[in-house]
Amino acid sequence: MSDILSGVVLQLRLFRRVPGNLLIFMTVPFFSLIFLSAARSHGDHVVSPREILAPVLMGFWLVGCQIAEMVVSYERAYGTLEIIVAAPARFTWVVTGRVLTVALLGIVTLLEVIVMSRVAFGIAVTVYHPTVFILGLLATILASAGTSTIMTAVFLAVRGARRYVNTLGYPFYILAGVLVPITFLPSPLRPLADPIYLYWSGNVLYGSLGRASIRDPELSLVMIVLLACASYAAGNLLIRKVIDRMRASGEIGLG
Amino acid sequence: MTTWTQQWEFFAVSSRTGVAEFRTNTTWRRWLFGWLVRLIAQSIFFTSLGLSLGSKAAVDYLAIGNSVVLVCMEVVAVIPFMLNERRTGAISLHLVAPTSSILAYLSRNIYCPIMGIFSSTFGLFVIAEVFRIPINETFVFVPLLIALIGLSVYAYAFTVAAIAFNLPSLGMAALNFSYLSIMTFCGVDAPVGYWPKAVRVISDIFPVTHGLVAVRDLLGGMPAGTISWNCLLEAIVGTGWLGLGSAIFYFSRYLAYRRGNIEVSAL
Repeated sequence: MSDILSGVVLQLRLFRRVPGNLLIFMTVPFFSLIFLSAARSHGDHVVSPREILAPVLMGFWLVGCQIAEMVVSYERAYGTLEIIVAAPARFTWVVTGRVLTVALLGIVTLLEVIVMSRVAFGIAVTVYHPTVFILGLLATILASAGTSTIMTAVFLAVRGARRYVNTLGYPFYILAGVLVPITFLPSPLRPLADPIYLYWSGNVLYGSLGRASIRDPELSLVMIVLLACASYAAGNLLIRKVIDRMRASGEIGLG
Repeated sequence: MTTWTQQWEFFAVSSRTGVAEFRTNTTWRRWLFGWLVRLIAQSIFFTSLGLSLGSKAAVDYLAIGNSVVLVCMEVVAVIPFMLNERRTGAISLHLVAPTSSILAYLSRNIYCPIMGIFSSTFGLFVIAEVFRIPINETFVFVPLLIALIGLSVYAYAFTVAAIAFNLPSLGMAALNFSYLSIMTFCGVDAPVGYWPKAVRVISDIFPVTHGLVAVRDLLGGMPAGTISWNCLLEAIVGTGWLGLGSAIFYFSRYLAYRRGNIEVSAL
């Protein structure tokens, strides 16, 4: 437990010392402006919860990628990765603390979106299913942390993988129906949404903003938690294997 | 005072250095399957919003805007590149060299707008195919307009880099702020006319706004006079940013000289 707390404290200190790491929170209001202005300016379209909340899910994905990059690439660049791995605290627990801290900060994107919708477009965000919404948000935080763990493992294992992480975002948003429902995708692509937590998170979070009852909220919540657990477990296992291999070969700082 | 021939030689050498640096940092395969795929996925993502808006006109509007803006994405990358010169310690060499440091900066990264012309044109072609937007023969002139927009954004990015010259750690924030402002307020996803007047005034002095109107007019079969007028406005905007950027750059350089911290990678 103290190792996880160390990770939390380390991450908070890093944010305080290098505010540039909070960059993602600068991009979210712009996405909000883009989606809502586009929806409002083309025809008489009524703005949907999807257009309001899409930047939140994008924010969760982006913070998930960024923390993985910070844990591996920055530490490698500063030459501190070896020290972290050699420390008595278990690396995977410290990573858990760090990714959870960042995933929790993902909630800030929700506040940004609520404020931007209200101030710039006069849209009051009303949650009609608060219990499902809060549970969905908590599950999404876990899933975001799980995704970060698996990405950390991939960054450790594959040299240059972080160069491609930037590429993953938009295809995932499209496949998971973050901005546009997957019914607009060609039918062979639709099943690809199932293993992406953003799809299930969208179902509960977007649905919570509508008066109508949400379709299968229990299934969506279970799926998000399952995907969170699976990615966290797989990520931890992979991190341990990769660290052990790198310890043996003496190439932790390289890559 | 160097002659024009020497300036040109310097430009050629510097731009070749930039290309060599790019080739060292990445590979064509990585650029094609990493970066270009990301750019096109971004265009598809934003254009798909038109589908859920249920309007063919919206799809066309978003498709053109989000393909043309790719040149902007390519070009604003020069902001951290330029600031990196300071971090790597190359800046002092630039400044003591007998050649113009502004020319050095601008020629070194000139490959960015050139690649942007390709990314943007190719992106538009792909997006038109994906969303079944008919393309007519005027498409052959699109790269010319995109080149103009690219140069205009290049001047704007240079200005942003000059402002961030003494705060290089803000390079990525400056990059994001620069391109997201353009994507939001310059008629990429929502027409400029949608925004309040104060915002429209700012949009008018930003790059992309007028050039993008020219591209839309070209593909929409508008008369050459209208297209040329918007091209001229885009060129004026670009020239203005270049002038402003040069002035700020000289001032930032003066400040760094005065403080004596030109060698120090400032935070």
